[in-house]
Amino acid sequence: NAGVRELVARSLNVIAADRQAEMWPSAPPTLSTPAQLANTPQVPSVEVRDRISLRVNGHDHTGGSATDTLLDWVRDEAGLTGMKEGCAEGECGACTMLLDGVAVMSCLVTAAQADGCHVTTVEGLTSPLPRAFVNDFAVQCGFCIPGFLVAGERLLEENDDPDDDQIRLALSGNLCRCTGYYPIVEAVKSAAVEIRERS
Amino acid sequence: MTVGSIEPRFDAEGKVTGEATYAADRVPADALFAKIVFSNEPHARMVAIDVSAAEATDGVVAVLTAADVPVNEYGLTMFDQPVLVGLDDTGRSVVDAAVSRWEADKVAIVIADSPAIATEAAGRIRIEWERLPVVDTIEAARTDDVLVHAETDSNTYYELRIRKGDMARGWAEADVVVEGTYQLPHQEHAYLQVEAATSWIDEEGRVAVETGGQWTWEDQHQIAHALDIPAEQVRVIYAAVGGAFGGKEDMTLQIVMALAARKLAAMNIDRPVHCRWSREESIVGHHKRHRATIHSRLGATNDGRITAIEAEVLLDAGGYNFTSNKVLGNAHLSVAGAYDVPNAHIDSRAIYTTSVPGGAFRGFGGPQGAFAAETQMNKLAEALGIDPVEIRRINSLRDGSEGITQALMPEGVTLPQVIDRCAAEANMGGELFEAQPFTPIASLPPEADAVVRGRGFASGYKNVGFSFGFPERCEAEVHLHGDEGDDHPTSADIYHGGAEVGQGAHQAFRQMTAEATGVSLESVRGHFSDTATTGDSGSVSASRMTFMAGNSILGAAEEAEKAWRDGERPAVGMFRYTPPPTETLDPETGVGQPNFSYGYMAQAVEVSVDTGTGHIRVDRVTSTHDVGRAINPHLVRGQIEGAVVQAHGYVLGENLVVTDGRIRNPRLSSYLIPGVGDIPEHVESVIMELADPLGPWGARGMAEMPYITYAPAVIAAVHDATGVWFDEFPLTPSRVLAALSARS
Repeated sequence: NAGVRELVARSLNVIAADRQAEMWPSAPPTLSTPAQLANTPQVPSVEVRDRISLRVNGHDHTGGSATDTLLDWVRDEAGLTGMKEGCAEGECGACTMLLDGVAVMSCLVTAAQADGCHVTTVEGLTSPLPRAFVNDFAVQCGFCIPGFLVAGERLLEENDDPDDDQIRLALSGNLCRCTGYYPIVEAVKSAAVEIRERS
Repeated sequence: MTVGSIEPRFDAEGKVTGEATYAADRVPADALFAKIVFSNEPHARMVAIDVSAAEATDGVVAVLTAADVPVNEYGLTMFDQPVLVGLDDTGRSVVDAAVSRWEADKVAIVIADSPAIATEAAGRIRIEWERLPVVDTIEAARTDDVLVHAETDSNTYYELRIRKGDMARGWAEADVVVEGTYQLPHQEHAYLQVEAATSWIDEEGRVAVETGGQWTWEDQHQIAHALDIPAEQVRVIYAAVGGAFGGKEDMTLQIVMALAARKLAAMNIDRPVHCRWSREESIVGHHKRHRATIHSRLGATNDGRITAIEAEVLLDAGGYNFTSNKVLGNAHLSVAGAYDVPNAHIDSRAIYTTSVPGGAFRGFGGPQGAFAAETQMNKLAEALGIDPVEIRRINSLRDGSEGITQALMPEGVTLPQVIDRCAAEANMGGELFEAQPFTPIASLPPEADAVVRGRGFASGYKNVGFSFGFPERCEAEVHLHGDEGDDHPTSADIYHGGAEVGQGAHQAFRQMTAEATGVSLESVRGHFSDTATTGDSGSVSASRMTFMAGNSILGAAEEAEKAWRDGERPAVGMFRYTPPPTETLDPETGVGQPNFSYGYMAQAVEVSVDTGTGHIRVDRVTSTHDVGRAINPHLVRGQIEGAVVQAHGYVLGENLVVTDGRIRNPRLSSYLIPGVGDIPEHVESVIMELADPLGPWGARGMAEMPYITYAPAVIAAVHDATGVWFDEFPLTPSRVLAALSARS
């Protein structure tokens, strides 16, 4: 494939010229916390028990179905249906939750892996971001929106003045079919302004 | 004024807190679960089916087959599809129910205590099939060697013609003729919310189905037909709907879930039943934007006047009609463009194959027709050395023009103004806008020498409302509240069936109700999309809902106002709006008035193309629309941006792989829709408000229009940049590179 050949050639030329770092983003969002990053890569030790416990949005929940995905567990056991399943393969981001502060696709995490963790869903968000989504018309059908909000709020905790590239990187794991993304990016910026003004 | 005001959407509140519930979020605690079993056979005749092992599975409550369907047929515009493919059917159907013509034809409904048990039991159903030849291309199907529907005499089951003027004269007057054959691909709707439904018998004994769709009344009547019960015994309710785009206009779970509820009732089991499709089931299990082949010849004089067009439109309908006959009608009207064409010879055909069915998808045949029409116009401009904007000015329809079907265009033809405005906003004829250096891979520096830039233009029209003689209507009911002595009502209720699928319809309904009744927006309560309380709105499709609902609300408000003056409290007004009638086209000549209103649009697109890798970035889109009146300008902008990005996926990347009648990439990881990093750098939404004489407050429909002209505008921009015309897309890097290297 000629296109792949061209891209490989360009890459090798860039490396030969020692320019490989030129385009790297200076502060890419990680949607994670420094402590979590320091520990990566980590292999979670998972002990599958009959019953597991999660702290969801500050409330303790205990239930069975340890082999469920985290998404199904939160929806069925904790009874919180705000996070959605759009693909069940980590592609659409509609199920994005914070697991001990790290944004994860909860359809790809088993409930057992999350045992004892703190989980945040759309129902537990506290920032000005949801309000900004309403005001900036970032919501159409709304099905993808909880995932965008969780990822977006995590971004704003990490960086309260993100530029367009940083916002796009942070939201690159979330799909929307209605809005074309423009008002979503705007809403993240509006919320960032408000957060900076508050602090 | 509430109309025209940028009011935040009232339904957005619940959607940002997680409180809004979609069909899959509303599973009753005592629900049973259904698994819908697909045939997985693009073309085969059932010889035997054995469900005994499934029925014997622990936790299985019932297994339904074709024998359980009273009238085993359905279809939005033709009953050509069995509800369940199978044997021992009641015989009360025009279609041979033993034949599967689609891999997603349904064969059984398994009802069980859990989804896992239902799925496991479904795997125990044994079916013996006699495989029939797969006819998975238009060419193969047109020979009629294999008939997809034995009850028809040809796979070419629906045809439309236009015979206008004198073709010999048209060609004789032409100084230049351009000719092209265009291949249009499938597109998957990829709404984020996959299909789900819950059904039960409600407190009034009705079969109730709660789901997401586009037209409660039609769902209700399709269910009633298949179950052979009066429509009043069926209730359809929509929960929040997570996107539709035409893909939820046809039946998916509605009928089968109604059957499941009836079966449970017959077994004296008083439990609701729920079903949620997986993404794979959704992509395999509903129709797509039609694959099409269009051939067109366009003649014009040296000074740019069109003299003749000859065209053939072939739509791959797949195994069932869905709405293909109506989609074909729109492609038929679009293929000559929104131009004054004196001589025309157009043949349009819908063809059954055993491939993936085509159906409604934003634009509804318009994108296919307009792609050929606008690419032909851009090629003609090039051949004549005339500016692409100027050639459109010369030929544009205007007030008083006769349309392609030899009927006077409905008053309010604003295309010339829209073209001029778009050209001015986009600086057509001047310099390109500045753009950031383009690199196809974010971590690599741009290769400035490899990047070329260009600009393209396209314009067009799209009908608002149902066409071709369909009995178009829309009902609304308004209640006004207040004390007997009050001069003016203090609050209002609006009852309306129109579906909220994400576009903001219910927000627009509330704003229009406030405007029509004089009640403040906060004091308008909405009651929507439940056949128990709301009337027939018609479908949210055809860019019709604002236009039709607005007129119905105006009428209902006027009726309520009369009752108010008569002292009634609450004052109730009901109204059924019917626009001017339209006509079916003459089968030989295509003469007739197909539509009562149109929306007009023009788009300019600027691109950067990396000629080393074949990647394309859209730098700027100027999307210009006469919307008549923007009921809420930010909702309009949302439709423009969303449609542009959906069309961006269509022309540049989305690639449904279909072989032997089967979809090979039914997942979001292999069927790629645009993400936030893939979209045009800038979309300029230009909203014009030139009133439609029939529109409520002058409003026209607009939600499909930004989609329709985007692909040909991109193709023209890529041609401007590279000198290559692409008659086929998506413009994947490998397709672009192959064409660029063939050129050099």
